[in-house]
Amino acid sequence: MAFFTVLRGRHRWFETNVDAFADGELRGAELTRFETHLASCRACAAAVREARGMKSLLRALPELPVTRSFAITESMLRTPAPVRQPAARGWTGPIRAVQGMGAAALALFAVLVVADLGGAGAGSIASPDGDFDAVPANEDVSTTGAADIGAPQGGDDDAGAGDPEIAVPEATPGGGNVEGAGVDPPPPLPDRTGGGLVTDDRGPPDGDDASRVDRAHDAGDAETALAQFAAEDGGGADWLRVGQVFSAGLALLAAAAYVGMRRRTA
Amino acid sequence: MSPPGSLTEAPDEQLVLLSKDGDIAAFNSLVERYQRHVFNLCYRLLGQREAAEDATQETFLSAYRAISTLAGGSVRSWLLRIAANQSKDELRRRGRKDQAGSLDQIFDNLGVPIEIPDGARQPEEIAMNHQVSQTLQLALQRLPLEQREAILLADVHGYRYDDIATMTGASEGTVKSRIHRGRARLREILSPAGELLEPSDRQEGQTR
Repeated sequence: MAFFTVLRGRHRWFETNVDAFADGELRGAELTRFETHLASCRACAAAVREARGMKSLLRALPELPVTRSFAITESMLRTPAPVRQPAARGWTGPIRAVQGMGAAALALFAVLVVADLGGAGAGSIASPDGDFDAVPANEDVSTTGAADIGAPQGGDDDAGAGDPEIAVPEATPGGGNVEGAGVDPPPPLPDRTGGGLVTDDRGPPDGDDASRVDRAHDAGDAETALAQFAAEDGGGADWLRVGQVFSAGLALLAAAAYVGMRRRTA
Repeated sequence: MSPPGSLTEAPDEQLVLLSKDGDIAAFNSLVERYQRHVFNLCYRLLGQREAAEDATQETFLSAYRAISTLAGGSVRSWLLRIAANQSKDELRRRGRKDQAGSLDQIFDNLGVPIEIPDGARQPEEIAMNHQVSQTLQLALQRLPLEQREAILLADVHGYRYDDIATMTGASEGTVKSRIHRGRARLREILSPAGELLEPSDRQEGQTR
């Protein structure tokens, strides 16, 4: 079967050049090759006869008489010339547009793949060991975690067990300026509400529990920030995937359109 | 301006030079000389006389306006190139769907089968009556415009592939492919016509 496929493939050159041979358009090595083949291929010999026959038929089409003169006059020239539609000859323009679109889609796909690989190699932004390493290990706040929010040390109810301002982690991205003893504030988070960086405007609470409150606040903000970074990172990766799929699909579509157009015009 | 009588025998180059100077009478001598060729190409491309006449008139108007750009070469080829473009514009204006002949029209038109002649016969030996030429024209209308254009320029107007490539803005390889596919498609369209009758019923040169 493979043998016949190869044979058919080799014969295809002769099939596609039958008309060129019949029209006397083949030259040099191509002409010699075709003539040599013709001597032993009855199918091609018949195809050449058919091509010449069709040519003769078309040449025999009668010439139609002209029933009026097409001479131009001054008045015709005074009429403005119609604006010719700026289309490319035949399919050249659309084919080039499709080629450009396909190239742009492939380039976008390549950029997105590289960005994806670069992001994976740089490590996760949401690592808990990232910016929050600034919290000293000997501080109680590093072990309090989310569970301790709302359960201040020393059982002091005034520390804000029920105080939503202090105990409950902020729902909005924030926690910029965190005040606390010896704690480096985490980097400010981008404000998704459209403003600039959000800073914590609450200020330190009054009283002896300020440090405990601050530490709880730090922990809450840290956890919130961590969750936000994780969400961002996951969201960013998703967008990369979507972009990759979209650009790959666009490139495939452009390729299919190109093949279809070439077949139609050839 | 030159006297009208001397223009009819003047060579193309002289008429072109006079036309570039604004001599409309000289240009109209070119019109008289080539309007038959231009009209026939437009008709074979468009399939309708009225549309072909509009395209022909636009061809000569465009040619006169652009005569200053003609720098040597064949005037006939230049005019046919403009005619092909004008025909495409005309098709766009009228809508391409109107132009394709249906297969039913082709078969309805058949009084005698179209026998594709043996390759050795000369065109003048082939009897072509009105019905056969109509059928062939309808079959041509079913080809994509680019294939139709290439076949008409090669087979009806006798241009070589490289000239057709220049006139149509395509490569020679594309022209070769269009002619090959166009003729194959014509054979496919016309072959059921021959199969409608038994071989013994077919008579060479049969006319109505």
